[in-house]
Amino acid sequence: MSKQKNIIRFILDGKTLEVAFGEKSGISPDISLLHYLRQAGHKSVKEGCGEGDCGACTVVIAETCDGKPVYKAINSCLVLLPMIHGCQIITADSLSEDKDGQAVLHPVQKALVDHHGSQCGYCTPGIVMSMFSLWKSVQHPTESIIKRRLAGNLCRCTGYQPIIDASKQFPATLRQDKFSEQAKETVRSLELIYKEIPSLDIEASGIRYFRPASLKEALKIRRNFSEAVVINGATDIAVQLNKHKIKISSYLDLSGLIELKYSKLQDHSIEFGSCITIEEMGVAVKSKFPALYEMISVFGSHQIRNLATPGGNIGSASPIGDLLPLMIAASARIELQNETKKRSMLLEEFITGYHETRMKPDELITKIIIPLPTNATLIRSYKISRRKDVDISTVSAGFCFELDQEGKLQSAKLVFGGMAAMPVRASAAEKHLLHKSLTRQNIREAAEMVYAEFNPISDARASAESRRLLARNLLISFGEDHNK
Amino acid sequence: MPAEPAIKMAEKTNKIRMPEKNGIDSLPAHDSAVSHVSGEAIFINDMDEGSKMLFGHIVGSPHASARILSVDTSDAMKIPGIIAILTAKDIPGENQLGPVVKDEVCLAADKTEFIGQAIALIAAESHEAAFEAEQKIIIKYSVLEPVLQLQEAMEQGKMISAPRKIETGDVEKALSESEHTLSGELMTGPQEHWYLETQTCLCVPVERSSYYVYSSTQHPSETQSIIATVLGVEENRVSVEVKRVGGAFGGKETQANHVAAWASLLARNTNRPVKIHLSRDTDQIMTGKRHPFYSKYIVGFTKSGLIQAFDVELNADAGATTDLTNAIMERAIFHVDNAYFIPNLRVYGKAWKTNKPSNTAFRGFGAPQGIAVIEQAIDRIARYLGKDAADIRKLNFYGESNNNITHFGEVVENNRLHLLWDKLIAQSAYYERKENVDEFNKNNTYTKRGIALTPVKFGISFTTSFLNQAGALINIYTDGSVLVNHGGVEMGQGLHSKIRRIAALELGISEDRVTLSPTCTASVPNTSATAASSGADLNGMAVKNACDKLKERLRGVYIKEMEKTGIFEELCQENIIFENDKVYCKEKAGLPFSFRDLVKTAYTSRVSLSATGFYKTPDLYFDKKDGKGRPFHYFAFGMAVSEVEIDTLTAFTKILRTDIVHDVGDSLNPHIDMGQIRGGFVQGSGWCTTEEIKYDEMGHVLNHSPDTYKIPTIMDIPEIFNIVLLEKVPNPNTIRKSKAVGEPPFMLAFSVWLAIKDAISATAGHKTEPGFSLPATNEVILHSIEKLRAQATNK
Repeated sequence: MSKQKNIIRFILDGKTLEVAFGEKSGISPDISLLHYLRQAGHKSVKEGCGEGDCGACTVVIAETCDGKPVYKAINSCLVLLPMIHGCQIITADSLSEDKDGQAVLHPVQKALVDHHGSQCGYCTPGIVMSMFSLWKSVQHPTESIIKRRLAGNLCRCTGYQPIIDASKQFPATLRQDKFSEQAKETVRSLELIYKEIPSLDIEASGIRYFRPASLKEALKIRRNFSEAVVINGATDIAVQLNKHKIKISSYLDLSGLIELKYSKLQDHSIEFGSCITIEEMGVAVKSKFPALYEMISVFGSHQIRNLATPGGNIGSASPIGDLLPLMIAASARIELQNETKKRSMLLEEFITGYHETRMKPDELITKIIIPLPTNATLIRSYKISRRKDVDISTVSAGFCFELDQEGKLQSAKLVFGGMAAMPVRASAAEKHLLHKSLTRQNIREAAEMVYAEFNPISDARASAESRRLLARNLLISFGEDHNK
Repeated sequence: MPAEPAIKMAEKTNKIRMPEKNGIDSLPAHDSAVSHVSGEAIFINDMDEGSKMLFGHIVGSPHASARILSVDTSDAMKIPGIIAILTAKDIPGENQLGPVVKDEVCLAADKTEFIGQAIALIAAESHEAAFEAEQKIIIKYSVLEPVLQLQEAMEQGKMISAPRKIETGDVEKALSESEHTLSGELMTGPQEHWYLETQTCLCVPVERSSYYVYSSTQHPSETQSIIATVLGVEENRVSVEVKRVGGAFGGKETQANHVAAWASLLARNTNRPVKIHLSRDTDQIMTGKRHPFYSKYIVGFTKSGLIQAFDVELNADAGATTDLTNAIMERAIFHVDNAYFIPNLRVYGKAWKTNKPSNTAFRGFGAPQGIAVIEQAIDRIARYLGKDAADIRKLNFYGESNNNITHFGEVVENNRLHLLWDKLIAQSAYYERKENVDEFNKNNTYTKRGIALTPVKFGISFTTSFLNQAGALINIYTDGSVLVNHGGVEMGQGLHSKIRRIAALELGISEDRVTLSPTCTASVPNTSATAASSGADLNGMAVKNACDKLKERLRGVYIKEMEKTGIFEELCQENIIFENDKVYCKEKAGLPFSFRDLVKTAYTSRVSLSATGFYKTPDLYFDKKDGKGRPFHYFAFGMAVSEVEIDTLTAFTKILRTDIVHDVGDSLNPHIDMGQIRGGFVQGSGWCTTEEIKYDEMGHVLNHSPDTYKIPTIMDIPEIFNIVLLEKVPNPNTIRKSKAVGEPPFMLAFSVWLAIKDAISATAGHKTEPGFSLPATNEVILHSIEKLRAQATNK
């Protein structure tokens, strides 16, 4: 075991590879997957921004699920190399197949050529990989699914239409390619990696990197190395590493905690393990909780949703965290755990300030429990951003109203993001609405109070005055919909 | 020319078999399409010069305006892996990057004029070492008060170059006699190019003080010349090669020179290959944008909406140096008329200096800023008169045989506006949908729709006449394969595909026998930038010229061979045809040579199989003093209708539908032309909607990454997007009767911009003129609607 201490394994170019971290290899555990791949000669993987916004670095990772490989498009710039331990990595330059000694384009590549879907070509490998993951997972993609899956790939040349057309006209043949032919073998190899090296404890290049395979193990590390930065998706930390060159000496990476990657539907609530991806969370809530699904559908891009987790979103406690206002409004609870005990609290109580929470140094967020809307609740989510997709909110909101039988408000929660240093409730407006019915007039009055209640900042996204107007208008918008 | 089957191998190194065509069409894809999708297409940052290669890093000014008191690099030099740190005093040649006006230093020596301005260069063995060294360089400044706002620069009289004016008719008189006048002002914002590949250069020192430079530039010859200037060597020591550029849009016309000069300085100093690849944030902070314009105008018109007079002042925010500002302003001045005949027109152009990175070329090159003013003015005329803005536009279109002289004296020939109008009105069902929009707005309080039609007329040629020249070099090898070199750069626009087609058609051979060489100053010297939409026009003609020379020589060989057989006598050159990979005589069928055999015969007969080609656009002239002339070879035309829907509470906007009809003459490749139209339009709609740049009071750009700078995604294109090319409209006197297409479609996005205004206006029942500017971000929309509502409440 000690010999295997500083290594990870994954499949690349059809072979299981081993990377040993340290001085000798010159590879540090905080290297991004993007930079590793480029160093390893996969120059098709481009860096366009280093923050997950452009998708030029999109690659596909395959993980095993119920004995089958599952293909996910991700931003390789947002992934630290040890996170892909036990995965297969697929890049645009490894898609083509060798037939009779000649390389033949993959069907998605051919479709893009046939539809004139590239101009300068810099974004193209990333687009190919988003199309590949779509091809692998959706048999007959609608235009709306295609757009959603490609919203995280910026192209400045084509105007996108040929890319949509190419994605629509994938050959209707069975989705067979060299990866499906090798699927069984791939799964066996990936399982073998996990069997031989279930958890990682890397100490190299002055960095300690833990990637435990069980919660028990994780909590023990948390107790002993409380200074280790917890990463649950890494979509925030990776940007800081890429762009601000921050130095982190120790990491506790939760991406190996399979036991926390679940969703569980109960009678009156839905429960999520804190390490489920946002994309999977969306699938789980689609029919049960439309307001949450809507919010998730404008959370980052498909690639980001395949990495980001609710645990990470809550743990970073950003004032503009997309899920927070709605979850607070819905009275979501979280469970925290250390080696000896569990405790649970309302999400609202957990967040105490700008990126500040009640989490203790030995604790981890393990689950999120969100009460489902009932017949007596009205729950809505809103996100306003300069651009609708793949943008951070200017103002976001979650509203939750509970009505009595006469239609009077028993409780009102109006939670706003982007209006203060943390998600905040519009308490004056809530109070004004209490025990009243949701008429246009009442809501308009409350909306004016929302306008007056906050003192937001002006920044690159919007002015303070715009934010106040938008917050007000969101409540008006709710009132108009409600009274339609 | 028979339809050639499908897509050819993109590159010599390409091992991938071309896909078989499925019958969608028979025209070739982008020259590099297969390499693009397979990930084999190499960009400069993908090139590796081995362990000797160093990374270049730029130390930029943190102040928008400051005196530099001292620079101390001694601690930084001690860091392991640091090979060189250079400042202005280490420049062996001239400390100058100015492409036209020599007002732009390569490295700031005594003062800095914008945030990010380069002061020192680091060559390091790793990015990490360079970053560490940057922290250790101590620069002392005396900070000065910057001028950041355009209006502030205007108040302080900080004009960067002499003002320009063009006048036709008697504006004062016409305005005073007009039945109506409206005056107004308009702000149009900056735009970041957001090429996917940031500025990149790799300079490799070769023997005897020579340099081989791989640059992501639109203008290899200028890059070469500037490198030679800063290095203090002759231009013959510097070769600049461009294989492909990962998007440029004008942003690499002059501003690729910077990283190229810096990399070359470091390479010369260390005698090692040096690569500079800017990070996205650095690129957005350091490089120039589209010029923001502040414009004021008075327009006089009749009660039917016919424009009598237009008096307009354009003010450009040049940033810290001149760069291409003067030419950009000139094009803005030439385009304030857009598609409209205005008998009395006066336009002033003034450019002002601010403490921001020098603004630069960007698709449209000033024309969008000029056209925005007249389009906004016409929209206002229509609202003022209570008429349909499209009708007012049509009323004022240039005539086909009269009312067809522009304010700069050029006749608008082959006017396609009326043809486009008829096609577009039918295709878009404009009038019917306009009624539907009104109906929708009556029935909806908080969701409003708007529709607008806008045309574009765009002058094709560099307005600096001498730039309208191009060169080519064609080599035919003994196996009959052809290598084409030309001065144009492939930056995604499909230029190489068009050129390959031109060469194949001219030589009568199949396209797979033609390969394009990377653009290189060593093969084709003294070229102009690939810009002004002119790439295929100029270089295509130069390639044709080279083909003509080669054909003449080959015909001579053919005649000799035929004479030898004794069958034919007195063959004349023009009857010898190059077609279907064959060379034969039209009059006397029989005995065709295969192209390949004829080439081989030419070789053994000691006839040169290599020729240069040259082209200059004929009949261009312009008298700057008089403001009259013929600066453009011809005009390109297009027209669009867009319909939008806005949620008036959240200001969320979607483009429901766009219809475009465009004039590209006889298209050299309809797929590529459609790609340019689509991409240009979407890029324009980004400028008109979500792409906004804000600065803080120190002059820091706040939107310096895609996190806050929002270009359109796949979700932002029109839900219905119809593009049609005008058919059977050959363009006289151009290569294969084609037309330029790179820039004109950008300006069709004004249809989106004004449709948004129409929707805003609908919130007040079209009774009040809404406040409006460009871009129409959700904040602009929100405040405009808020104001209309407040005015309605107060009434």
